[in-house]
Amino acid sequence: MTAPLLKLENISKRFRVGNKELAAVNDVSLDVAAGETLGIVGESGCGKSTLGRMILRLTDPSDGAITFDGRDITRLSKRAMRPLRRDIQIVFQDPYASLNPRMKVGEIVAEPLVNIGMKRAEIAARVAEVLKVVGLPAESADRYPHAFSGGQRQRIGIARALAVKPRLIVCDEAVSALDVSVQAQVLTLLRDIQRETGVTFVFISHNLGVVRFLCHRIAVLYLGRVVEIGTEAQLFESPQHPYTQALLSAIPEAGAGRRGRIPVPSGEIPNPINPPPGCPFHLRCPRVQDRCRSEIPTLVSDAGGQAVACHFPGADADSPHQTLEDKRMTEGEAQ
Amino acid sequence: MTLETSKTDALNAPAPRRGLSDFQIRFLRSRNAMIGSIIVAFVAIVALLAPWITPHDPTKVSIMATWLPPGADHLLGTDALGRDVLSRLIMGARVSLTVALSVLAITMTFGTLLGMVAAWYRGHVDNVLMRFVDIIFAFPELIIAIIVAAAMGPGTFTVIVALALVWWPGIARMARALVLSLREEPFVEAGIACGTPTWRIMWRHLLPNIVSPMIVRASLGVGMIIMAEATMSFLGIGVQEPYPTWGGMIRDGLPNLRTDPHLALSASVALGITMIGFNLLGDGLRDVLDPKSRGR
Repeated sequence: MTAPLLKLENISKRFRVGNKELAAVNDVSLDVAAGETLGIVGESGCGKSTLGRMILRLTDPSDGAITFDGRDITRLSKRAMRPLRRDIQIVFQDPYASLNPRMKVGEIVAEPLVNIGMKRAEIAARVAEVLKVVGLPAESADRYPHAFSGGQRQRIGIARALAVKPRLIVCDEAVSALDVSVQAQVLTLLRDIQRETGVTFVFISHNLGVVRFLCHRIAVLYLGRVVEIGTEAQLFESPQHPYTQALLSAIPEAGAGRRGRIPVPSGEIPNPINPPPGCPFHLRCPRVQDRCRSEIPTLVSDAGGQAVACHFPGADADSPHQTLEDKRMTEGEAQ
Repeated sequence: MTLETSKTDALNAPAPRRGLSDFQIRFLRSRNAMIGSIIVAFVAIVALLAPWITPHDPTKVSIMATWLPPGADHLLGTDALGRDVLSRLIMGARVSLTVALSVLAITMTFGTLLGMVAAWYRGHVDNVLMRFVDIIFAFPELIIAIIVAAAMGPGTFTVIVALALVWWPGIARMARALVLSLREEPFVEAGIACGTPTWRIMWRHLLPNIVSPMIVRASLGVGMIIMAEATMSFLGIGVQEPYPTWGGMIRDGLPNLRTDPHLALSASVALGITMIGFNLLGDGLRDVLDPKSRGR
């Protein structure tokens, strides 16, 4: 296997909250090969966006190392980072807030080009070119972002990311704010762009359906830790971690009919300032045993490359689940 | 039927006039902004043309014609030295506007710059700048003005320096607050992520997005600055005789307010109208520029 384009080694990010510490990302290691799409999924607050921001060095990791194309970029200064910025780009979640309302679309898309010192005439040509790639008319360049719909704005954001021909694009919930029909268009656009340019994507989302469409490999994050990682087929056909199984069951159209009733994990995601001891998922896990309450499971990969961080991994069929409704009923009886 | 009429009405409604921006249309529709800008424009024109439109020499003393009531020759009467009040009022507008605009230009430039720098770099830079701002805020404005006047001697330049010194912290604080919220916006992060240098982020991303609230603040501030200048002149630490100022005229007219009120009153009215003009303009601009009321 060739060296990965992007390598995260034992990345952690801790924020100070008052006098306590919040571990947003905890000891995450990931490899992304050139030309592939890695999906990162998890509930809100699991650290996926922080992870994405660290790849772009918008936030500095507390621990660990980020290697891009064989070069350690973890401790590069802002100035030293600048030349590398043309290789790594980001598409943000909010298509309204991510475009400066006071700049014309052409100026927005040209910004990264200006930064790499491209000549004026070349910039205009390149802007027209990428606008065409994302399916916007060339005249869009002379208008302001408020004239465009959410989906069109997201295309502008994608055009900005594409302009400098980056090798890696981090998509942070890039389609979550869009209507379903527009989501499909933008996802198809991203896939086509990858086919044509061979760009690598790190695709962050809470929506498994969206991730499945686009991603070759998928990492499932829970409370700042990777609980399971594998290819799209592995994760969707034979999920090993109870959390992955629960997430899959929560996809309305894919889960219900085919898999029958799989419990949605009860309870809330624990407070990351006060993470539970042992396995981070044990409070909500149907398979919880004593060992889970004290010992943090490590990520163990099998022969096929699928890795899972669980003391009792396995398919979900024979475990003694309590469905959400069952739980509600027992709670009701208790009262 | 009603549906159809409303449809045709919509079709027949005048199309938005070409060449007028959204801002211009909204400005023309705002009563505050229009009245305010008319008053301000009037004062500004009077101030600009002052040397040519004064009916008499505003500094010419005439011992024989002191405290004349308003009349045909002297429309607003004369003061204790027999100088024409209307002429002095007109020249006074010049002083007031010169001081106000100079102070505004200085404080907007430095206040905005320092506020933006503090908010962008945070940490020590922010702490030092903002504690300095706090210190200036801790003193009553007039005390600082008096200290500056004592150190530099009274005069127009002193007034400008003193008021600029008092005025920039408010501007800096506002710019800082605006930038603090802006710097978290994804479009600013997108700028950082694609390698835009800091100065260009400030120039292209931050400044254009704080300009409208700053303009509102500036136009509301002009009234206050004119008032402060008048106060300093009233106290005798401002612009000096024989140059006419509204504050100085109020001061001179005050002892004779009961017998010859025309001097103090005319200067007060001029001051009041100018302040109202700038405040209306500021209020109007706030309505016009408020992004929440924008959009169709």
